[in-house]
Amino acid sequence: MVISTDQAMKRIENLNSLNLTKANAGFPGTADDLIETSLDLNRYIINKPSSTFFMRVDGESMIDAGIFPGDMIVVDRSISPSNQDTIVASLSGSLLIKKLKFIGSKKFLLSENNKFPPIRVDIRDDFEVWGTVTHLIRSLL
Amino acid sequence: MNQPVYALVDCNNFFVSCERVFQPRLRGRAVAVLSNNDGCIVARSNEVKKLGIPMGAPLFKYKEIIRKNKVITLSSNFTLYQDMSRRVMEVLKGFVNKMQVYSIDEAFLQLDSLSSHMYEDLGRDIKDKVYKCTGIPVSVGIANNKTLAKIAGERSKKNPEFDGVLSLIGKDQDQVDLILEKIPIGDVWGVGFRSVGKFEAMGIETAKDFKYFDTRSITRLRGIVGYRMQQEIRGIPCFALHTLPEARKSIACTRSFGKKISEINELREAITSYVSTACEKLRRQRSVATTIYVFIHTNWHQQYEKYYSNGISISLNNASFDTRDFVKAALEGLDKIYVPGLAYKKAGIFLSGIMPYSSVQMNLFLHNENRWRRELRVLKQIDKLNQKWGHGTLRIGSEGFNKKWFMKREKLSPRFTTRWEEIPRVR
Repeated sequence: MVISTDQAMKRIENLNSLNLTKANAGFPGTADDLIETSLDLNRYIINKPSSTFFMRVDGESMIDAGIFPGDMIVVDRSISPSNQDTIVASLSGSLLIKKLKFIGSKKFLLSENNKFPPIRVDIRDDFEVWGTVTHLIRSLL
Repeated sequence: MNQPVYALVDCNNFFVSCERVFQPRLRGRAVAVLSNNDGCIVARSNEVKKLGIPMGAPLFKYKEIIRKNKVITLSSNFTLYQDMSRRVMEVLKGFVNKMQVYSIDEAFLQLDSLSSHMYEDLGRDIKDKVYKCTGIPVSVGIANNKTLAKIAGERSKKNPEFDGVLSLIGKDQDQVDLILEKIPIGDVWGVGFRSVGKFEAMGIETAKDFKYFDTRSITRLRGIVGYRMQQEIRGIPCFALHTLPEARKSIACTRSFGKKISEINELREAITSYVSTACEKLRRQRSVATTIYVFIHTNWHQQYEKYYSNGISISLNNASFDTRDFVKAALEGLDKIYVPGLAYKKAGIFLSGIMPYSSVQMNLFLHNENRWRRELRVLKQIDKLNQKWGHGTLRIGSEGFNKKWFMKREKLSPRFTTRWEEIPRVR
């Protein structure tokens, strides 16, 4: 059987939400088996489904870190970022992908591209760590 | 001796909050979410509430205020709200063993026993965790019964001093009464807008008035339910976690075929009849659903034949109880997974995203309420005839029906969490 990633993800999401133990009764050996027997990329990439989101990178601010426009990132909100972690930040109404850096008590958002200067984040700024980037997904085709 | 303790967790301005998670530019601005057809306002940010625009307000009546105050209006993105609701409930499940999802944006949690001063901290943990994981702000009310928990939640939201968490556990009567006197009777759980007038006519304006009112008069007016409501406000638990019969989380209808089926038309017929059965069940439990999953497979015991199994899930734009909506979706799905030339042994469907009418009625059918009621009446009649004369007496034609409610949804935000093409973009 060949199904697209999109379909597979959707399907697994739905199976998860369906409460499989209950569904088992009238549903022997179809998709349950699929989850048991093949490697599940969801399990590898998604640690906490409730707090994991997918986003698309727009722009070149992180190219020196190997993050290119069009790449997909996996963001887990439940993880508090450490120094130097790549994060999604909400700053002045925009969502940005940046490297978080602490210098003493000061916070900086760094780009991985010389053209973009570091941003010093002030408490007065409309700033929030939206989530921590855990994976990068790129199709090579 | 351990009396149960309940928490009501309520998402603040839920639809607006969902939009703000992915569009931070909407934070701090006046945002309203509109009903189907963009006709009425069904969710308001605090800024919109302050402008005096009421819940359910028809858009055209407030055009001027909206324009002057630069209120941002959005169509309802039910797919997004449903997914965010699922995430919030998932996080809440991590805190307790027993919980009742009460509506798309509310849940009752039965808390473990703690010493009374600890509940407030637990409530704050819950609030912080939900926000951290999902970005949705919630308020938490804690008490020894559901009615008081709801009141505490209401209060925690209105009074900034409580910062979204209020526990009545360990508070004495006088302290509780100070809270009750701030709750208008119409905000008490179970008091519908129709009975507000009756209560007010009796001089009951706040929850505190209700608490101390003569029990016999209350019982005469509202029967046993009124009696229980009053008992709960007095601090005597009456409603267990699942007092109201809980709607099923999913409804399935699956069959193995007597003989193998290869033709798509036969499969379509089978699927149509399964959907009819499932939707009938759905209506019987007074619920709506948002998603249907269709699957087909060949016989997997016969190893000499190629085994094929596939399924697909389709979300409707709006929660529905209408067989026709689900038949249409299911048949579209079937077309996508059907492979000609195979001998199919089994097919089935699941409905999920099931919620009671009551939880969506206000929000989603406001504008169409009359039409909605009419539709429901017709479908109920069909159900009745089928029950009387045998299943399938009246059937839904599998093809050629028109899109019933033509929906205008001009300001729909992307389905940020359920479509690859629509995931949020970061710079």
